[in-house]
Amino acid sequence: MTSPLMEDAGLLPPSRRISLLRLLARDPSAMVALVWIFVLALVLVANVWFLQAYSVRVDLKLRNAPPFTLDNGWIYYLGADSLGRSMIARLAAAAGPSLGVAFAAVGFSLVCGAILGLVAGWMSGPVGTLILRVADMIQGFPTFLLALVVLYIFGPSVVNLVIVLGITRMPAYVRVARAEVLEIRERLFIDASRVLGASPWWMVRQHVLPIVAPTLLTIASVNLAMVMLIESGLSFIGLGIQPPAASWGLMVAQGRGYLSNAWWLACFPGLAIMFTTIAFNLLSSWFRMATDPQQRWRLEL
Amino acid sequence: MSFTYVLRRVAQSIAALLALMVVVFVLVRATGSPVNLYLPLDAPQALRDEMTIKLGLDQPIYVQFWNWLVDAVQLDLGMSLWQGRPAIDVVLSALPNTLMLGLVVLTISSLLAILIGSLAAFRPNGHFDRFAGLVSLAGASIPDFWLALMGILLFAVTLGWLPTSGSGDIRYWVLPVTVMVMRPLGTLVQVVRGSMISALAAPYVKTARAKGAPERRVIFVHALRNGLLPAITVAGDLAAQLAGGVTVVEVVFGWPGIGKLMIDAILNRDFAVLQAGILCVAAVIVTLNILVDIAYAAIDPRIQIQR
Repeated sequence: MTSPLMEDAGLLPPSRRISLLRLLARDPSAMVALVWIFVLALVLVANVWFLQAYSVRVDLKLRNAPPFTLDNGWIYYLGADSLGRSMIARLAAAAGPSLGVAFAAVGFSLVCGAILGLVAGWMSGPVGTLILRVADMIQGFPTFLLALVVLYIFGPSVVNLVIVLGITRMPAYVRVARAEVLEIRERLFIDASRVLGASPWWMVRQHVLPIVAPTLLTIASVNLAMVMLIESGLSFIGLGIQPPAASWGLMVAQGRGYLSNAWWLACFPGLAIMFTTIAFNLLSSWFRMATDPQQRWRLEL
Repeated sequence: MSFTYVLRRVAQSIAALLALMVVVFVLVRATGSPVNLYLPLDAPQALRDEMTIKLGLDQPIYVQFWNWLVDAVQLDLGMSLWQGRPAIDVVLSALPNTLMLGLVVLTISSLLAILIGSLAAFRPNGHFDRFAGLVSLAGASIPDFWLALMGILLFAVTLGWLPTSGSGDIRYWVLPVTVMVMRPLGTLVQVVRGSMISALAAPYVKTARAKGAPERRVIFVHALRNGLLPAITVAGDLAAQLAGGVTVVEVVFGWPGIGKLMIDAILNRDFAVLQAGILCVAAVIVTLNILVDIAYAAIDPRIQIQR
């Protein structure tokens, strides 16, 4: 849907590329989202640097220590969990797995979905039909239920989680890529390319992919928050990331038993999930608007 | 025309269901034998063999599938190992709970979405439009299981107004419905808003205004009828997702629905219930899809269903 402008996205002169960044500065909500992503990046660095040690340090004197007090040092400012581990350090340690699974799953579904979609569109024979039918079946079935059954069968591990989440989100990429290829395939420049003796692989790479890619990237940006929510839900149920590894969804589950006497155990990791998904969603709607010629003016005002 | 179309859709759907069940059948058996779970560790081999034979697990998998299929056609989906009663009974006692909850959630979110979406489309970028944007952002961003827990913390634990979990009178419905409405509402609001913006710009709306129709009538009668079409497609997709039960919410609130049942079946390695559950959910979804297609054609006379 955004292809007309996107077509020349690769041909933009440098000055217009910078203006894309300026557009970002003009959208306050996108800026806030970017700041949160930046904070997360800092947290990831801090985790590797020194926080990791605190996230496993058990201090039974500080069991369920309340938040918002500096009495126990700043590292316990957000309180401590049921084993007296610093909440700040635990949240930081969980950021990596939570974000990593989301990015890996979206990347996986983007790449595989694009390839399958291109194949389905380019070769509209039985292979294309089969790919489309399977995609329909996956899309029609409730995502969470599907992920649940498959994860149970193959065992909950990070790799399986990424594969399952990737596959359940794949149909959207397949259908969009296929639909665009079907349309592009009939255009004049493809005929010209074919007459000049280009191989199918070359035509797909040089002519089709640059047009399809931006649309697929838009879907990927929308999916990022969605995949993160599904992952946290699966981890909450106990079929996602497994202890001793940490994930925000898992932390909510661990805090569930202390709801009445230590609300912060379940509340803070949920807030972390929410802030991150909000940031992803805001950035993705900014991206959509900035790359859509019919919407772009809203940001250029 | 319409009748042959429906027949063909039904035939296609049955083929799809069969394919799904073959996949599930094979996958479920790949998880290991229930014999190991239900017999003590030191059970003699003879006892294990006896149970394996009794469950038919010693036969080749295609024989097992054929036997299952013959029984399934007669609505016998096997016995639940875990509850000791027919699997179909177990599933059919959970399914209505999920479908009722889903129906209530879908109705409430559709009505709210139509109201908020139409008002937002009436003045794009106005206050109401911002509010609609916020609702959508919340729906796409808040983790439902966390919201459920926070709801329990505030309204059940702290204030004591509502029960923490279970099912029963209307007070048990408030929290699950509120939590579950959020996501479909967020999606539907944007769909209604988008299609209403284009509907309000259409010539027939100008005609209606020129005739002197009151603004409320223009929005909610003239524009809405056409603006609703895309929303019906999306609502159909959402209904399919809800039919599988919002598993996490059902687990948090102890709602005896299909999502919770599937989790329990998985944990208890109850093949029969798992298979019956997946089959029933898939059948509901397939039926829903056909109904949505028919409803679509019924509402919009321009759409001619392809033969």
